[in-house]
Amino acid sequence: MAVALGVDPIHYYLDLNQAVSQEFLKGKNLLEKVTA
Amino acid sequence: MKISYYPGCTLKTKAKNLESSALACLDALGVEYEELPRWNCCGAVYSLSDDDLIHLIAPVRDLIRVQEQGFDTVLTLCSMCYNTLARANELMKNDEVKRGTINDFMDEEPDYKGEIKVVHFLDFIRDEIGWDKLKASVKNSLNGMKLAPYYGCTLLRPGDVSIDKSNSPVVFEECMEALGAEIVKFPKAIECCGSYQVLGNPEAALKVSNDIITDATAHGAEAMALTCPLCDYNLGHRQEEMLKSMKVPKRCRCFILRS
Repeated sequence: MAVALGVDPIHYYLDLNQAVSQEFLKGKNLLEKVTA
Repeated sequence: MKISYYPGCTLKTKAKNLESSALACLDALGVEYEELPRWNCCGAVYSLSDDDLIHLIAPVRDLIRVQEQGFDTVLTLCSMCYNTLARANELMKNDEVKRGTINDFMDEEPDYKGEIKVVHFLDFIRDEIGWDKLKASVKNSLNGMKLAPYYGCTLLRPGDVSIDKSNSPVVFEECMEALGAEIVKFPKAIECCGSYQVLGNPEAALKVSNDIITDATAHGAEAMALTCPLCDYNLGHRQEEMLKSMKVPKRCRCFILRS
């Protein structure tokens, strides 16, 4: 939800799935949007 | 709108990401919240023993603290905390004899009769924000993400504290749909993840969690959305073990209320 609402994204990926989540969201073109 | 917020132990330790992301979402939605200034552990699980009233002291104290704070509703993020607080509240509201015993035991506290309403993040968003406003607040649509919402047990059972229809809930799907996800429904979405069995019988919990992820991926899920830190541990953090020892076909990303 934080990704969709565009709020301070980087902080919320800090878990055990961090690398996989970032890779996944990058594939969905979401990571670039929220970190832009 | 301003609401009392009960964090619970896990959100201040192992699941800080859930707290920080959920509170940031409330900020984005214009919801004011005030963390309970004095709170203690909710008890973690609701005792199944009918006469284990001492186990209810912890959640009832928290509910009294909400009253002292001046609110009539308390918001929870963790599914386990929701379940424990809501069930303790129902007992205090409906069981006069046990309510009397508990209030007598806590003679230094004001009497409590179950006046506080306990809500979870999901039913709060549904009932107080609404899907239309949530949808209008989306800045980065999840367009194209095949997402499988997973409820587990404690948001839905027992029925008197369920945030939706126990056997056919839709609140999580509607929430994720409002964010732009393509919803993947799967039968095991309301089955237990293994919960605290991970402590006493970790292999059994691993098998149950493996079956849930296998079911979700078989129905086309690219990722799962969760609301509970314990579900996140069993379904998310233990996937490496599943990939090594079980039959889970591939890793399924788990996003805890932050898809």
